[in-house]
Amino acid sequence: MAEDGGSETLIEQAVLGNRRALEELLLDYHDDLARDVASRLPADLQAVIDVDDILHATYLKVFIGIAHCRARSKSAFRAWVRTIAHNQLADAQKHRRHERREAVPHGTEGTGTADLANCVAASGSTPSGKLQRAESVRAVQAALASLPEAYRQAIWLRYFHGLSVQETAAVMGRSPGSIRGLCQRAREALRAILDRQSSKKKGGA
Amino acid sequence: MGGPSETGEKGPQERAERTRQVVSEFRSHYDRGEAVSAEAIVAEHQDLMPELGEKLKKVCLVLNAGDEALAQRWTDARKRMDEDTVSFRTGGSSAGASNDAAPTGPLPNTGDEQDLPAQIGKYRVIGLLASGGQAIAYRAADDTLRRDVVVKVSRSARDRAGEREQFFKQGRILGQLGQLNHPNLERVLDCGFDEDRPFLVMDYIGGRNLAQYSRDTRLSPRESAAMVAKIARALAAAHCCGVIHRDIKPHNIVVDKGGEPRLIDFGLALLCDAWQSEPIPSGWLTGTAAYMAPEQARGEEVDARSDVFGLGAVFYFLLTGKAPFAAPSLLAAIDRAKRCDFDRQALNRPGIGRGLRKICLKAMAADREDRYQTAEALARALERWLALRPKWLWSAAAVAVCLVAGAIGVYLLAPRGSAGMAPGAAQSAPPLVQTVPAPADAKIQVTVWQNDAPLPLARAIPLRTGDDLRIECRVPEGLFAALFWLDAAGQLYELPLQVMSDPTPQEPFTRLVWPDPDQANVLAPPPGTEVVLVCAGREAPPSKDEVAPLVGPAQPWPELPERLVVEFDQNSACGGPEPVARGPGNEYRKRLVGAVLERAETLRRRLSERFPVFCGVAFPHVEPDGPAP
Repeated sequence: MAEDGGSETLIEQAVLGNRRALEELLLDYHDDLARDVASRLPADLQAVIDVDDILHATYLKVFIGIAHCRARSKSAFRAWVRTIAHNQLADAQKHRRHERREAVPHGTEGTGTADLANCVAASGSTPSGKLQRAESVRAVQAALASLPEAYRQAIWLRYFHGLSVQETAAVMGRSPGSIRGLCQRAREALRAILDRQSSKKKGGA
Repeated sequence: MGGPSETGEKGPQERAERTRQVVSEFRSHYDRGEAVSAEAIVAEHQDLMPELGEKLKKVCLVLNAGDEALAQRWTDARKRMDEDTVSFRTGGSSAGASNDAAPTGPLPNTGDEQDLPAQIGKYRVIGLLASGGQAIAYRAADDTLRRDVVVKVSRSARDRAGEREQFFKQGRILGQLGQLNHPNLERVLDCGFDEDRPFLVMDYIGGRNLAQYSRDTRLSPRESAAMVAKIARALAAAHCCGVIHRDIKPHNIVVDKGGEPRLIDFGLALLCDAWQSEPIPSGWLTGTAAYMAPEQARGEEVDARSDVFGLGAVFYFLLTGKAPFAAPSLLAAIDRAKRCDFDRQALNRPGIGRGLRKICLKAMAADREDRYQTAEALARALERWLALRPKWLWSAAAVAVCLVAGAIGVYLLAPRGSAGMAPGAAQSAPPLVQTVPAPADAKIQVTVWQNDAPLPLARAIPLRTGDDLRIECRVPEGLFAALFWLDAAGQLYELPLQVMSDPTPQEPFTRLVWPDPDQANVLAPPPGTEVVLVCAGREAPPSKDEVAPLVGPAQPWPELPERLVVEFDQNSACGGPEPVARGPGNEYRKRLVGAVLERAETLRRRLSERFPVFCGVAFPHVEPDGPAP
């Protein structure tokens, strides 16, 4: 979708709900961030706190909060992500006693889920199914991806991030009235896609 | 974009390029929703290890986070979409077909109290008990075991994979708590899902919560200490199971009909993941701000010591009658809780000894390091205090009553049978001792019982609505006494006296008490000046009809200064001509208090014309929120 283009464009797209753009940005920054987090981890905690756990929790927060990110340059974006990571690190240090080490999946991927118990519940991830998306997530992701760009943006901002009509309008540079119409059409489109998916599945089964 | 190069010799640049390609393919598969196994990819491209492994790991980290965020957000998004339009909810002819796992299906109606569900799980719903922000509590019947239960249903649906598992895991922990069979812990009997909403099933305990209970039956500090000690023991047991309550407050302690307190609502606190509609930072606002530990109000990690604080706050409430962080708004209460800002002076009340004050303040220390480190330590401190404070006074009174009852049964029968209370015998029966002529002084002692120890009236004034009063009087042998209460509204009542001890050669007095030692007598509104009178006659106990004309019209007495008690008897106490006003610190002060003394003197003169022996006391009674002593 957005393989190329400068960081600024990627950030803009990411804020508007382009997941691939955000993934690119994070993958690009990953190594530096991992080094930064590792360097801030006190020696005595290195055994109990996994840098990957911190990064996982950070990325989760980034994905959840991207609609509110005000950064428009690469350095500002990185600073925003870094701040989140530092907060996660501080939290992890504070909560290390209660960290559920057993909840960290083993295996080569080793993406931890120690941050919030909710994350474990939400992801439905198991060590073996780590790379296989949960059914519903896959369905939603596919449905979202197949929506026209404007629809996807409207749904993303308005419903996934709970922005008001006015806020959505401001971010998308449209009038509130047009956002209302857009949201309605987007909902109907999404609904139709999901219905089609489920009936296809039923028919196939 | 072609397949991987087959050349055996690879330069670092080529390796990097191929790694990129493999990762890119992997992402494409992933994006299309196809199952891909990292192990398989790694096995296929051993030559690219370890760089490929590193890259895959990094990609997985990012992709997984994205999926999790999507899953987390989807429930909310769906809800918002549901809210945004009714057509989204009902539109589409295939709504029925997509009723099951289809992600667009409308959310279950999250708790409309008006339509009571007929059944939740196997439990038949009887009625609504309470409806909170996170859950709704119903009273329900378990028809198989024929008992009443409380069913608490979360307001939010938990239908994602893993959530159910987690809920049941936590339910099992609660079940373990139930298995402790602790008399002061609520038992969780069952848990399950009603459609997508988790529910918990608990014992139904008939009774009042501690807030209501303490309002109706004002507990003495001693009783409060005993109650808090029991809860502390229960809490210690729960902590042993690794369960932190997080929301200890008087409303979460139910006092059953036997007066036994029970700590309830572990479920909500423990299962906050299940009840909260939004993931929340640890501890944040899961408790009630007015009783919340400072660290909890600040949103920091909560541990067992936070519960110790909560219990300390409950103790504070019982001792002072107010919540420590009571405030007009939730935010103000949180702010006070954060700063641990509560009125410590309120504990400096008569009856709350230094020992109890210290225990309460230690449990409520702002820094958790300064608190009792475990609930058990708090329980021990209270139990030690209780053990050291003599209970013998009460036991002695009870024993005396038993002895009297056994030895001279007529004493107990007579007062109940007659209108007035005779220390000697029933009216029809010949007086046991009729020959003692000397009209020694009668004495009346109003006692406010706190810590199961008597506090003289002069030390306890002004009395507050809800104070536990005992009236003991000493009447010379051979006289028939009756007790009267002229309340603040000016109404006259006659109160049945109970014999506590009979005269002995050393002490030729009959001791009488009201009410029965095992009953509480709580001062009821309205506030004002209360007057208690004991009158004794030679032939029979004076009746209300005799006394009423002397007392005069049913008019409230003039108000007394808060720290003043007026006593009078046939000799006007201490032989003086004027009624005596007695203040705090047992200092006798003759002081004119205008209207009250005048009225007392009038009454005194009238009574002295009619009865050989009498005495009375007038004291101030204020509302609990009145000025502190």
